[in-house]
Amino acid sequence: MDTLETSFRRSVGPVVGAMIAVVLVVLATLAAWAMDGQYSLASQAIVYLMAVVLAAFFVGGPTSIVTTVLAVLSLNYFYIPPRYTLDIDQEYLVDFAALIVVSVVVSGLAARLRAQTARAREGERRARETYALAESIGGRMSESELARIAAHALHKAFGVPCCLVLKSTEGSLVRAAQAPETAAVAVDLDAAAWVVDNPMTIGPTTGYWPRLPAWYVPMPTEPGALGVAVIDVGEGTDRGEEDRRHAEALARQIAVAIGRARLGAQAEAAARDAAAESVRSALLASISHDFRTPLAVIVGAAGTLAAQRDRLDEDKCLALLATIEHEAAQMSVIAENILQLARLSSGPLALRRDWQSIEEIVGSVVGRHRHRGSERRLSVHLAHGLPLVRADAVLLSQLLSNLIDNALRHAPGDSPIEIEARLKDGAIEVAVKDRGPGLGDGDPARLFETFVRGRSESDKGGVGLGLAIAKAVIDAHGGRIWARNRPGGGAEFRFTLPAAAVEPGADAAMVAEP
Amino acid sequence: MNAAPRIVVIEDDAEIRLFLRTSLEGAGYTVATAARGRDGIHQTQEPPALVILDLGLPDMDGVDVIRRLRADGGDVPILILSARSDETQKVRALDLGADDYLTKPFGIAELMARVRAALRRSGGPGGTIEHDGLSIDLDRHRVRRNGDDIHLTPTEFKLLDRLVRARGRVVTHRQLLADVWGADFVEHTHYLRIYMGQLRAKIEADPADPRFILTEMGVGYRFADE
Repeated sequence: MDTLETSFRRSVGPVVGAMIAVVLVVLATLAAWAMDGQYSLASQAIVYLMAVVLAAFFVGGPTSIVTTVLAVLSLNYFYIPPRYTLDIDQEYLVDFAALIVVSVVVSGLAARLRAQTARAREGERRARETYALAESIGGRMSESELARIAAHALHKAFGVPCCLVLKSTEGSLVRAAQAPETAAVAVDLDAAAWVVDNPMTIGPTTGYWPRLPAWYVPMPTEPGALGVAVIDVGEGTDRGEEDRRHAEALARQIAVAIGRARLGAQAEAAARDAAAESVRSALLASISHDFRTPLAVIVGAAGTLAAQRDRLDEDKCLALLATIEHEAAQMSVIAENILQLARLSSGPLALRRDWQSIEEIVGSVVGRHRHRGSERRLSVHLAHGLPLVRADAVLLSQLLSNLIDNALRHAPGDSPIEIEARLKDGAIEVAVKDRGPGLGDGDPARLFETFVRGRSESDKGGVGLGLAIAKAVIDAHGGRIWARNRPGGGAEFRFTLPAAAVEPGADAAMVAEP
Repeated sequence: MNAAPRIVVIEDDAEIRLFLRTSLEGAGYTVATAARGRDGIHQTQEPPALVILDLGLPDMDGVDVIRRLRADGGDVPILILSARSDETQKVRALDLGADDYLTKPFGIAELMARVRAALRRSGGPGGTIEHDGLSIDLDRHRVRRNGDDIHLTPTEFKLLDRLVRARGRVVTHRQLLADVWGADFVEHTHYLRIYMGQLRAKIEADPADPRFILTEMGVGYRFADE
C-alpha cells in the first residue's frame, strides 16, 4: 500500500515504467489464456482493459500509454481471429475499435483522477507543514531559535536550500539562519531590501526580478516586513502559483512568531530594567540612610574633640574616640554587605563551596561580635557531632553575622540573644532568637523580599539589605530561611542547610589513629 | 648603631601611608614608604625587617611584588594589606609566600600585633609555649591545660605544632594540609575540619568559642598570641 501511495508523488523512470507496462500486460495475457474457450472475447478484452486502468491510475504518464498500446497489440495477436497474427477479421473490427476507444478514454479519466488525488494530497501535505511549523514555533523561544526552526521547516517543505534574512532592530539586514543540512544560499541583499520595502514575492516564475535564482518571500508584519525568506528554487524552476502561495503562508507564520518573540523580549527587558531600577533606588535609599547615621555621629564626635578638647576630661575624650571607632566599624560592615549584594545580584552566584563546620562558623562570628563588645548577650547552643556541610564559609558567616546584628539592633540592651544549631530531617538548622519587640504585622516571608520589592525601609536601617543577602545566600545553598515570632515575645530567624550527602568522617584512611 | 627595625610600606593611598608611618614610627620602627610597586621593590634593595604591601597597586599586581621579593630565595617577612574582602586573593598571596594579612579597615592594635608576629617569624624554635593556661611542649609533644595532661593523637599534635610555631600568624588551609598530611592532600579540607574540631574539643574550654585556635574565615587558622 505504501509503495502504491508513494507512486502518486513520484513519477517512475522510463525503464521502471516500461517494466510495469510489460508485467501488467503479461499478467493480463495469462489471465485471458486461462479464460480461453470458456469466456467470450469481450471478457478477455475486459481483462486487458483492467491492466490499462491500473497503469493509468497508479502510474500514469508514458507508462499508461505504453500499457495501452501493448494491451491492444497483445489482444489482437493472441485472441482476435485470425489468432497469432496482427490481422483482424472484419467481424471483430468493431470490438477492437471499441477496446481502443474505451482504453484511451478510461486511461484519460484515470489520469485526471490521479492528478486530482495527487493535488489533494499535496494540499494536505502543505496544510500539515503549516500546522507542524505552527506547532514547533508555539512556545517561548529566542529569535535565533525560531529562525533556525523556520529555515529547517522551509527546507523540509521545498527540498531546496533555504535561509532567513532578518531586519535587525537597528534596521540593517542580517542573515539569520539557514537550514543546517543544505548548501549555503547566496543572498542578494539588494533584492532582500527591496522585498522588505515592497512586501511581495520575487524571483523565478513570479514576474518580478526573474533573473534571481531564488524566491525572496516577504515575512510581513505591521508595518513593513521584518525579513525575507530566501528559497533557492533555482532559475529554471517549474514551481508555480500554489508553491509560491504555500511559501508565502509559511513566511507569514514565521513573521508572526518572530514578531511575537521580539515583543516578548522587549517586555522582558523592560521588566528587568524596572526591577533593576527598583533595586537600585532601594539600594541607594538604604545606603544613604545607613551611612548617614554613623557619619553624623563621627563628624559630630570628631568636631567636638577638635573644638573642645581642652575643656573635656580624659574619660569624655576616650568615650568620643571609642564612639568614632565603633561607628566607623559599623560603616565597614555596611560597605561589606553592599559589596556582597553586588556580587550576589551580578548573576549566577559563584559559590566557593568547601567542607565547613557549623561549629567553626558560629564560633568565628560570635568571636567577632565579642570584639565589638556584645559578648554578654550572646549564648550559643550547638548540638554535638553536627556533620560538615558543603558551603561558602564567607557568605555563611556574613549571613549569620547579619542575623545577629539584626537581633542586637532590635532587642533591648540586656536581653539575651540565643544562637542554636541542630540536625533535623537530614538538614542542619540554625536559629537566631531574640527577646525584642517581634516581627510586627504582615507576612514574615515578605521581610526577605523587602529589598527586592523596593518597599520603603523601616526606621531601623540596613534590615532590608541584611535579610535580602541572607535569602540570596541560603537560596544559593539550596536551603530555606524563615522568620517568626516566638512564644513569650521576640523574634526568631531560622535557616537550614542540606547536610552533605556523603559524610566525609567515614573516610577510613583518616580515622585509623590511636 | 641602628637598633630600630626598618619597615618598608608599599601602599598607594596617601592617607593610609601616613597612618602607617605615624603608627609604626610611634612604636619605634624606622619606616620607608613607596606609592608604587617598582619604587617599593627598589626600597628593599637594602633588606628591611618587614614589608607591608597593599595588594591593589596602580602599577603592578601586588602578587607580582611578592613573587619579586621571594625570587632568589628572598625571605623578608611580608604583611599584606587588602582593601577587598576577597579571600581568594588573600589566600593566593599567602600561598605564594606572604606571611600574614590585614583587611582594611584595621585598627592600630591589630596592626601592631601582626607586625610583631611577622618580625618574630624567623625563629620557629621548640621549647614550651605557655598561653592562657595552656602549656605546649613542642619537644616532648606534651600538652597540658591548667596542669592536666591532654592526650593528642599524632596528627592532632602535628596540626597544633604547625600552628603554634607560627603563632600570631595565619596559616592557610593549604599550608596546613600540605605540612601535616602531605602535598597530595591539599584539597582534602574535610580532614582539616574534622581534626580541627577534635583538637579544639580537647584543648578549648568551649570549642564553639575558641580562644587558642582562631578561625580566619575562608583563609585558614591562627594560633592566638599575646
